Amino acid sequence: MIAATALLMPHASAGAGAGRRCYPSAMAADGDSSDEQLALAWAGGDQAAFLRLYARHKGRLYAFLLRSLGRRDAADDCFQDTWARAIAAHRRWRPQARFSTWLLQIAHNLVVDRFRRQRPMVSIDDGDGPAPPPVLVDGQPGSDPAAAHEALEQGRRLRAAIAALPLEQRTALLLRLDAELSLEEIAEVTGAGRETVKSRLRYAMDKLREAMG
Amino acid sequence: MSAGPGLGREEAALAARLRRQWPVSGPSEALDQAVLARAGTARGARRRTRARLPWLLASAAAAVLAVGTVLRLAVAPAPTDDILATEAAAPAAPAATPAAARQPVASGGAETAAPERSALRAPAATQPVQAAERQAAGVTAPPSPPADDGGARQAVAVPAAAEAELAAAVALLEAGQDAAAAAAARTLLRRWPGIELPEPLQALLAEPAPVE
Repeated sequence: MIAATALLMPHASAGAGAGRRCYPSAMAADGDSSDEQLALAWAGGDQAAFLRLYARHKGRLYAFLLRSLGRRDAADDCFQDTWARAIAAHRRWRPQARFSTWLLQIAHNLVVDRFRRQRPMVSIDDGDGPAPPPVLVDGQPGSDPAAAHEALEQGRRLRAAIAALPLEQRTALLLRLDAELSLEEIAEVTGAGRETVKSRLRYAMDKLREAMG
Repeated sequence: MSAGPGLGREEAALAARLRRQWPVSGPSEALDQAVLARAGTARGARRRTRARLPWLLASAAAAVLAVGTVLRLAVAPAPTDDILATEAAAPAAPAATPAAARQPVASGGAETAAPERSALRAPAATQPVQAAERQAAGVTAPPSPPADDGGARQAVAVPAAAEAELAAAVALLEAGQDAAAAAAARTLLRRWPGIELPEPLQALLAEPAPVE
């Protein structure tokens, strides 16, 4: 466990400090092995391969869950459940699908299950609704109070606009912007057709554009 | 809109804005440890089963005791009802065997103070005696259901689905990862309210949370 902790620390941030590009870049920065090679090694019993996969994917997976669900406790639960399912099923993983797509598919299914259980959903803009999503702000606002306030306000508007999107549109948007998946990969994760995904993304972008001004 | 993996200009700008205005740190260290423990659980179950054997044996013994207690509660008559039934029947046979009829009450100060508890502790061997005394006193009231002690003695079984997580929490505690163990235990309680945690985990949760 000590070795595992050393390998995983410090925590990879999914925010500004994380690799901006998607998984291929993270892969290059992390070594020669691809996700799929590591997943196969893990399926063969190589625990170190799991640790590398976990270190690569935990940040973006967590960001996807937190931004999808809007609550840290819910994101924590889904994060743990996603890895639990991956751990339970990893021996059956086959390289037909990308590991990242497979992992996000598990996470997406859990998010959908959670939303179905919790309906009716409440927008974070509702007065009686839950507080805005708890997030960790890595950077401190600048010394100008007005600018800091404006930055916070913009962040709040962005979160509210994303939270107001229907789940399908929000998922497509986050998978596109955050995980930088292609339309085909988003279709694979969500189980929707490519054209449906394209349509959801267009609606989501339109609504965000309108909300953000 | 680009269909490929690369983002279009507007998408890239929005993605940058998303990361700048809604930055998200990764999972907490406790969450990391919980996942790693789970991964370890999946791989080395046999080794950890050996390591956890004392705890498993203790848990099994506790479960057997709990089942025994529940079964005993299900069949044991409550002295409270003995008293009520005897007093109700007393006018019908006032001089028959008053001492025998009130025997359960007079059998000890502790029982008089807390008859329900005495029912829980009463050995099974006393039941035929009490039945004989009731019969001698002419009491025909049937034995009542076990007394309600407020649920304090109701065993809360660990759901099968929670077993792995409970084992992971204990493993974390044994590994000295108190924060991670506490987080895992709190998750368990949130998912399965009322779940019976092992004593070390209960003690851990009772400790004040460290200031971060």
